[in-house]
Amino acid sequence: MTAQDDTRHSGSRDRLARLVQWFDTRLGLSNPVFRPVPQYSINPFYWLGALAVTAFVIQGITGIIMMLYYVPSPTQAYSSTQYIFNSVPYGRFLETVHLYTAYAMIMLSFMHMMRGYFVSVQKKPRELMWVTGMLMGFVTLGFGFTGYLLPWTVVSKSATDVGISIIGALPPGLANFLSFLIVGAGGDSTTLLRFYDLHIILLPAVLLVLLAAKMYMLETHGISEPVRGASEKKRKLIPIFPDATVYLLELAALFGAGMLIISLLFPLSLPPQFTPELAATYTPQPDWYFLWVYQIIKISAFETAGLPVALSVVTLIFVIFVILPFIDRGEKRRFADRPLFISLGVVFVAELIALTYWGLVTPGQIISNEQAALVLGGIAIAVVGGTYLMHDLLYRRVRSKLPMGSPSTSLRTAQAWTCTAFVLLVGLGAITIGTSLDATVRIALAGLTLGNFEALLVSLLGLGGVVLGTIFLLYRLDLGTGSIKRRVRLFELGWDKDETL
Amino acid sequence: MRLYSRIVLLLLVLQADVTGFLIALSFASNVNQNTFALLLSVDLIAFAMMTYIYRTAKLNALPNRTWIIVGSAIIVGIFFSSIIFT
Repeated sequence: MTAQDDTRHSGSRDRLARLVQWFDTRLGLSNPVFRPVPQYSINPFYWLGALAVTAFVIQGITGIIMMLYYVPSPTQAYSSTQYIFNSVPYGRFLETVHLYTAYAMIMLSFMHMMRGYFVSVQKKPRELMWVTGMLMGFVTLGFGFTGYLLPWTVVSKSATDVGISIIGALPPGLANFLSFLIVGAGGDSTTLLRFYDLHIILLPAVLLVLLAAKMYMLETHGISEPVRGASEKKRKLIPIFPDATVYLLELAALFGAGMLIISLLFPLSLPPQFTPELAATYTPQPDWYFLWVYQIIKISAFETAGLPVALSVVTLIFVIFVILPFIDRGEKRRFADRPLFISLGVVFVAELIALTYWGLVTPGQIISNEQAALVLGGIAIAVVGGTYLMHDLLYRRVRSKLPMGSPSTSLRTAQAWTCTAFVLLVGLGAITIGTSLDATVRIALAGLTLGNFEALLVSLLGLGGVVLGTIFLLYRLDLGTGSIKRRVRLFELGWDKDETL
Repeated sequence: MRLYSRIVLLLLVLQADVTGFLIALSFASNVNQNTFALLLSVDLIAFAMMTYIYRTAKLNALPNRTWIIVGSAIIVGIFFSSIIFT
């Protein structure tokens, strides 16, 4: 390289540096408003909320484009949706990405909430952050509810009609307010227009205000520490720009790519247009995120006169989550120190999954009280038993066999793996117990059919697999702590003696 | 680290090519939406890989080879699947 080349390169570097400085002076990029974040927050679990906001942004962009073509009137809603689907460039792609990012937003918000619950982020001084987050969760569900009606298909209109009729069973004050808000004077035109206005104006505005409030509180209190604490190295602060921003962009890019691939693998097809005649032949069923509520109100005890009771149960669950920071007030955050709340949380997630699946496979079918008690009770018992077993195993049994002091990295890794395996086993166990109980009740009620017998057989085989998996895991754990009493060579396949903790 | 700089360069070239192709597709009258989605996802994955390499380089560490291989394999896989989907 000649001296002339050097001068040329240095000149272009200077120009680039001047350009960067010009932007920096005006935008203040090197002195961002947001405070630096600790190194331990460079972990996807800390960014679930940010990913939900990313999903919201994608929905905003795709929604605004669709808004240019959509007509919110009962006579044109379906045809304009169909037009977007078939005639607008990339229309089907826009619709599909809009829907799947909406689903992802609900799922990410739920994961964000449950992660917060399990690692106790709601504790002092972040109580109001939690309440704000819960309100944001309700707004997200509101997005789902209002957006579902807009295409005016037989599926969406029938389900929304059921949803609106259920509001009448709420306490009078709340029912009147919600009816006024979403139905107005009544009639299809008003309802659709109200839903559209709520979906594109009111709910986004409320969400943005709540997001600003939550971000303000996050800046005030900072990111909560990991439950187990963090080393000095992990506590080291990194600037929000570019380091943390680049990490968020990386996650957002992967999320976006995932959404595109899912949209491609499961493309949307538009159900038929709503007509009262077609609706009469169709069993209404809500979208997946409301299936658990749908399944609860289908339990025969809650039918007709019992509906207010069912809605009270659902409302109570929501209220408990909102006021959680004022219930779970202890200072301890570790899983082992909060067995009650951890068990309740795991039971809640397991019941939610079971109810959602159950609601999906039994549209319009009334669930007998016995079936509900057996399945839901069976799941709760299995989950509580599994959680206590895990607690006992990880924190009493193992600790008692190890020297005192802070746990080594290998022990932590082993605990993480064992914990993951147990969570999977407990989840699978809950599903198999639920399915086998359901199959048994079906056989008792309807007699032995091939379908019922198959369901029973498969669930019992699955249960056997879970039991075997648990025994295997316990054996390997004892092998790891060097406290094995009776050797079973089959369970020691691939075991390395050096793996003893 | 030099190897990773070359990977970044390759990814940049790939992104530029894909973006150029996407723009060309948009001008075409009969746009295949599957191709658009696939190529956009390639762009996003390449971007994620670049940011990952940038992040680790800033910490004076070497990027995890497994992630780079997985990312590359996904990009290759998407290119092959574009033959099926388009």
